[in-house]
Formats: sequence, structure tokens, C-alpha cells
Amino acid sequence: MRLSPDSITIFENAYFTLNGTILFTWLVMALVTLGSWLATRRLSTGPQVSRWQSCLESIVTLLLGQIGDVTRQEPRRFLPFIGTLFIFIAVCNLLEIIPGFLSPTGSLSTTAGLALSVLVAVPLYGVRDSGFGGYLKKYLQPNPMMLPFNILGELSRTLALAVRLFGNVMSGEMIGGILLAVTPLIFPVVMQLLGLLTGMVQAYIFAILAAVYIAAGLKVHEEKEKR
Amino acid sequence: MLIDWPTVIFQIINFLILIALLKRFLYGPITGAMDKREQQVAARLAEAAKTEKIANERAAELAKEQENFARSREEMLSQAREEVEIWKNNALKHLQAEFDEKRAVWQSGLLAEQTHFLQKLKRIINRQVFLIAQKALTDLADDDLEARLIENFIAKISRKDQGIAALLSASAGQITCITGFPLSMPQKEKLEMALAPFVEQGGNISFAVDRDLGFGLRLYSEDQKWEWNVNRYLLELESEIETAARALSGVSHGQ
Repeated sequence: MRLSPDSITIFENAYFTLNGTILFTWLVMALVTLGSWLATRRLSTGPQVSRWQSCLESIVTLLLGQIGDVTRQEPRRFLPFIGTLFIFIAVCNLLEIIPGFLSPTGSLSTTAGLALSVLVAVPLYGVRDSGFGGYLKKYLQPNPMMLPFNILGELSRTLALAVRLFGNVMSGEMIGGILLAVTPLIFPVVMQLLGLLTGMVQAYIFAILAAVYIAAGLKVHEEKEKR
Repeated sequence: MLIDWPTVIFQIINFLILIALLKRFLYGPITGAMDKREQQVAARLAEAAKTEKIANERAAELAKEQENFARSREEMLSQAREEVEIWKNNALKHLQAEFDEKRAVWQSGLLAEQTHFLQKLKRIINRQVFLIAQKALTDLADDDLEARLIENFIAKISRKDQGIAALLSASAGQITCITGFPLSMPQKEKLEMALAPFVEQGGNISFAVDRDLGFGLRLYSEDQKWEWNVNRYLLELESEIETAARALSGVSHGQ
């Protein structure tokens, strides 16, 4: 049994190896981009809107609301990053139900890449918000002795972020595969449906945690300003 | 190993590209459309508020105009009522005056008719009384009535009745005897004989006829006058008839 689509090699030469993770990621990217383009090419600003536009506006409004609730700040500047995290993971997990499709989120490489993106995005937002020095001081809080622990905390939560998503998706696939071998009828379908639900929940958790981490990087700066 | 680091790098790049793509094809257009719609809604709300304000102002103006119109109408009605009242009073006064005038004319006519009737009646009664009296006297005395009057007058002179005595005592040289009927010569002589003692020497006793006197006799001497006339009784009768006629007229007006 394959644990990750990384092990599927599509194309390979001396410099580059195209594996299943990258291929399915491109598919998802193409699908999401195409869908977005199709949905937004004829946007209406009047009272009459199409179903697709209404659906997309609902998703974007929901995302903005959730981001605003978590960060307690103007949510639009976080929307591209956190929204893309949610949409990408959610679409990957939803497409998992299609036979033959291997979700890129079932690869630890993908989840690690996303977690590293979050790891980088947190200081970027923090530095942009409070400056380089101001952000770095966060690691010295409440006292310089905590510097190693803070750094360790950053790394561990990034690792936890990557492993949580990978573990959930991979375990869902594995349980489905095992049940398919043990009870080939009905039960795997139920598990697949449950996998869809857990996939959506995981997308939500990943995005919300990313928002929380980013907000935590901003919060130091805000509290300092209040003092 | 589960993590393939080149794949990780590719996935990070892919993710960044996806962010850019979605920002270009999803977030930008969607948020732009939402913003534009919000602006339109805000503009429409502002326009609605402005329209409502204008409508409220217009409603207030209309209410004020309506109030003014009602007040004006009330004033006009009041003025019209006053004019109608004045016109009615004038018309009533005019009608009353016209009525009074017509009633006065009618009353005047009625009075004239009444007077005419009474005069006519008086003449008829006078004539009838005279005829009756004359017939009665003729039947009783076998003498004409004028002779009885002359004799009666001479008797009064002989008795020197009050009035005649005063006239005769004051008489000087002129006595005029006027009768309502022509006297016969014997009657004139009788009268001259009866009056002769009261006329001075060279005095004159003249006779004249006045038909208006009716059945009567009148004596003039200087500024004295004595008269006996059936008309006096007729005048009393006439007066009583007039009183009765007025009483009847009053009763008919009262009804």
C-alpha cells in the first residue's frame, strides 16, 4: 500500500522528478483557477446575481467572517493566504472521493510545504505589522530565557500542523483501503463519506490555526501599543 | 522517508502560484463586486434617504397648503355667509318696504273706497231719510214738508229759542235767509213778517237758495249764524255708520 502520492513517479530526468503529488496539485490548481475564472468572468454588481457568484460570495464572506473573528482585525489582507489554504485543502480532500485521485494533502511533503508557508507567513505578517525588531522581541517575551522555547514552539506547531493534516488524510485513505479489503460492500462508502466530512473539517482547522498563528504574531505588537 | 524535500519546495511554489491565481481570478473580482454592490446599496440608501427627506418636506408643504386652503375656504365661507346675511337682510328690508308701500297704497285705496262708499251711503240714507220724513210729514200733516219747516222756524222765532234769540238780538240791518229749497212767495212773506221786528229801519231781509244745504234753513246776521238742517241728524247717522264700518274693518284685519 502506498502511504503517499510522492511515491508515484510520472516523469523523471536528472534535474526534475514529476510525482503524483505535484501532478494532482497542478490538477487541483487548474480546476480551482478555471472554476474561479468561469465564475467571476461575468460578475454582476446589481441585485441579480448568478448561482455561482452567489456561492462564491457566500464562501468569501464566510472566510472573511471567520478570519475576522479569529484575528480581530481587518480580514481582507489575510484572505488570499488563509482563504487559499482552506480552498486548496478542501478541494483536495473533496476530490479524494473520485476513484484514482490521490489527494495531495495525503502527502507529508504537501502538508509540510503548507506548514512551512504558514511558518514563513507568520513572521512576514508580523514584521509588516510591527517591524522587524518589534516582531523579534516577541521571542524574548516574557524574558530572554524563553527564546529557545519560543523558537521550539514555532517549529513544533508547524510540525504539528503538517503532521495533523497529513495523518488525518492519510489515515482516512488507509482506513478506506483496509475496509475495502475486509468488507468490500457499503461500509467503505460510508467511510468515504465520513472522509469527506473530516476532510472539510481538516481544511477548516488548518486555515483557522494558520489564522490564529498569524494573529498571535500580531497580538504582541497590539498589546505593546496598548501599554 | 515520508518528506520529499524537492516536492516540498515545489508544493510551496505551487501554493504561492495558487495564491496569486486565486487573488487574480477569485478574491479580487469577488471582493470588488461585493464592494461595488455595497457602494451601490449605500448610494441607493442615501438616495432613498434623500428622496424620503424630499418627500417628507413635500408632505409638510402639502399639509401646510392644505391647512391654508382649509383656512381660506373657511374665511371665504364665513365671508359668503356674511354677504348672504346682509343680502337677506337688505332683501327683507326692501321687501318689507315694498310690502309697507303696497299695503299703504292698498289701505289708501281701501280708505278711499270706504270714504266713497260712506259718502254714497250717506247720500242714499240722506235721500231715503228725507224721502221717508217727507212722506211721513206729508202723510201726517197733509202739508208739504217745506211749509212745516218754515212754520216751525217762525214758531222758534216767536218763542225766541236760544240761538235764534242771540242772532236776532245782534242783527243790525241785514239778515240773510238761506234755504235748501226754493221758497214760495207766501212763505217768503211769512218769514219777512216774522223777521221784520228784528231788522232796523231801512234794513234788508234777503233770501237765497243753497242746494247743498239739503232740507234745512240757515240764517246769517252780521257774524252770527243759526242753522237747522236734517243733515245734522244724517251726519250723526253717518258717524255711527263709520264707527261701525271701522270696527268691522278692524275685525277683518285682525283675522
